[in-house]
Formats: sequence, structure tokens, C-alpha cells
Amino acid sequence: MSNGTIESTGFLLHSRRFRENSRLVDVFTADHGRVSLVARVSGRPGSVGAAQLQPFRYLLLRWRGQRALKNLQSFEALEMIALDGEAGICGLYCNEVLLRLLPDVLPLPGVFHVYRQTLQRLAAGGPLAPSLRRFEWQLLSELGYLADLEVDCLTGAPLADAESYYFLPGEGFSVTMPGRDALAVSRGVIEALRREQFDAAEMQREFRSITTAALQPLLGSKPLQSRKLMQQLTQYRRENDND
Amino acid sequence: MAMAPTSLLEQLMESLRCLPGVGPKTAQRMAFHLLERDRNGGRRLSATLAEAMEKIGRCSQCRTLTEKEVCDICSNPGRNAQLLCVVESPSDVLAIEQSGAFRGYYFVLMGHISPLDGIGPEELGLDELEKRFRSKEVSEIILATNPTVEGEVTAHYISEMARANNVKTSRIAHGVPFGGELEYIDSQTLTHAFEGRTSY
Repeated sequence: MSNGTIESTGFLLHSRRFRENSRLVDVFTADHGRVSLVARVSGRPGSVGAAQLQPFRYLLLRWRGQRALKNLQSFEALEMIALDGEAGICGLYCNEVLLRLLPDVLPLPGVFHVYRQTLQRLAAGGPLAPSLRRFEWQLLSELGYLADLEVDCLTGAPLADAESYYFLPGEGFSVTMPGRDALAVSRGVIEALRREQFDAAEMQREFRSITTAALQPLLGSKPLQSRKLMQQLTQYRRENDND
Repeated sequence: MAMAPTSLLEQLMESLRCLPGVGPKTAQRMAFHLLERDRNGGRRLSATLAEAMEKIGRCSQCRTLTEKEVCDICSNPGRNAQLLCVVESPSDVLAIEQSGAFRGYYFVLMGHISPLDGIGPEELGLDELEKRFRSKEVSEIILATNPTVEGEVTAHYISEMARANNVKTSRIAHGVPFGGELEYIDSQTLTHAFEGRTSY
């Protein structure tokens, strides 16, 4: 667009108050990747402008600026993906992971597509965990951190057929135990990962240990707050189910 | 080079700028108004401000702002002890009180759960709230957090906590504001309004 204004659609990842009439907004756009913006919102907090700047909202954004922090000129809400209750926490988890992993202003259309599909899956109801595992797995794949499921990471030979395997974060899969940090993985899980099928209820625990271990070195040492929140919530849920 | 010591007048103007909506120009106008036209008002303001900053703390029961150990609402025995309304801020308490719609007690979170800002259940004193659930006085909580993503997450978390303690929960309705027009209301609010419709 003319005079240096850039226009793109994107999802709001996070917004927080900045000075009195502004918000610092992180968005994930289709064409420019993650962008950090300063948005001036008129009037008091809770006014119509600020109310539109909610997570998971799909916005048409126009911004300007050369520096890392751009100025949001205007925005329009295009679509709202309604994530209630626990789905909301899962959505915030995806946002927290993306905020840790996405570099500034680097177009990542593949990741954008994965994120959009994940929000739609979370909003559609049904079990939430498979949607999160698919998100984590596809995110690793799009960012180029995915272990090769066809190659034995110790020998470099094609991954042999076996009853059980081992996963070593940062290295890959093997039929022989590669190190003390390795996770044991069943054959069914390897097959499910090859097909990107994350729905099997009995495999959720294994899926989660693999994706968590694979993401850990990328996320840094600070624990994810939304993950902690989900764990606390699961504890209450368990107490409730036992009653 | 040593900086020239700022005058008291400049310090006053700089201090006034901590108020919301006050920029340099407004701060200057306020300072001159107090000094030229209303010294008594200024003295009263400074004395009250000093006292308020020293003495106003949190109510030990509902966590709202008060200079007492227990705030006026919590120490009023005439209210319904079985109902507890959970709100985000002391100004929400005022708004509900002015509506006269609620006669129970409150619990003020002083914010909402926002994992991306590092605000979790502990920061909001939810362990205190759980103690009140366990005391068996409360039979129903009304979740009146804001209808935002974080407000909904907070409401969901508290409802699970209440269920674990066998406390009934309800959530305030969201919908069309009184005097509003349907065509100007956003689609999510309208969806909520239709889902939460009541028989008439």
C-alpha cells in the first residue's frame, strides 16, 4: 500500500495495557508472521475499540513503522473464534508457545495455517488434547525441528521394524536406547505419528511426552504459565470425577 | 555538569502526572489552580491523599480496598451469607452495589487469570477463595468476571474449584444492553444472548 502502510489479516495473540490510552498488541499475520504493534485505543478501558482486541480474534490490520514496534493505524474485526472455558486455556497455551517461538516479522504461512486450523478444532468441541498434540507436532514440522520418523538417529539407516522404539529429543527415533534421557515409544505411536493421527485416547500420554520433550529445548527454561494452569485445572477435574 | 535542583512547583507538576489522563499541560493547569485559587482545597487533598495512601489496604475477607480490617459490606450482618459474588475489581463491587441487584457478599480478585502476563491462581488469592468454599458458609457463587477471554478463563477455573468443593456456581448473563440496538451489537454478544435466552 502507499505511504508505507502495510495491510494484512492476522490473529491477535496477546494484548496488554501500555500507558493509558494504548495497548501493546502481538499479532500473528498471514503475510508477515508475528508483528508487535502499539494500538491507540480511544477512551476508557473497556471501550468498543479495546474490546475488539481479544485473543483469537481474526483482524484486518493496517500498520506503519520501520522499527520492531510498529504503529497500528486501524483494524477491523473479521471473525471471532469463540473458545470458552477449557478450550480458552488451550488456545492461550497455543498463543504462549507461539510468542516464545515465532521470530519477529518472518512470514510463516505454514505455521499460520496450522494455528488457524487448531483454533477451529478447539472451537468445534470434542476432546481438546488431540488438537493440541497435532498443533505441537505440526508446529515442530513447520519450524523444521521435527525428527525423521523413517531414519534411525543412531545409525542413519532406515528405522527398522520393531515392537518398541526410543525417542531422544533433538536427535530422533531409534530401536536401540540412545541415552538416559530417551523416552520409550510404542510401535503404535510411531505409526500414528507417521499418519499424523492424534485421536487415540490410549496414546495421549505418549504423544504428550514426545511433543513436550521435543518442544522443551526450544521454549527455554521459564515454565509455560498456561501449561501450569491446565495442570491445576486437571487436578480439580480429577477430584470432581472421583466424587 | 550538575543538574539544577528542580523547584517545588516543577515537582508538584511532575507528581500530578501520575494521575490517569493528566499530561504536562493539564498538570500545569492543576498546579496553578491549587496554588492561585484553592490553597485550602489543595491542603485538604494532600492531607487526605497522604492518609489514604498510608491507611487504605485490603479487606481481610473479600480483598477489596478499605481502611478497616474488614470492609463495610463484609461486616454487615444483614446480607445473605450463602451468596458470594466474584468480581475482578473494587469498581465492579461499586457498580453492582449501585444497581442494588445483589444482597450477598463479594470476593474481589484484583485482576483476572492471564497466563501470558504471568498471572495465575495464586496471584489472585484463589487459595483464600477456596478456604471460604471449605468453610461451608457459601452455598452459591455468582461469577461476575468480565466477558473477555481471560475473564471467561478465570470464571471457568473458579467454577471447577467450586465444583470440587460442592459449591453451586452461576455466571451472570451477557447479552444485549438496555437501550441498545441489535444491529450495532457484535456477533458474539448476539450469539450469547440467543444461547442464554429465557422463557418469557
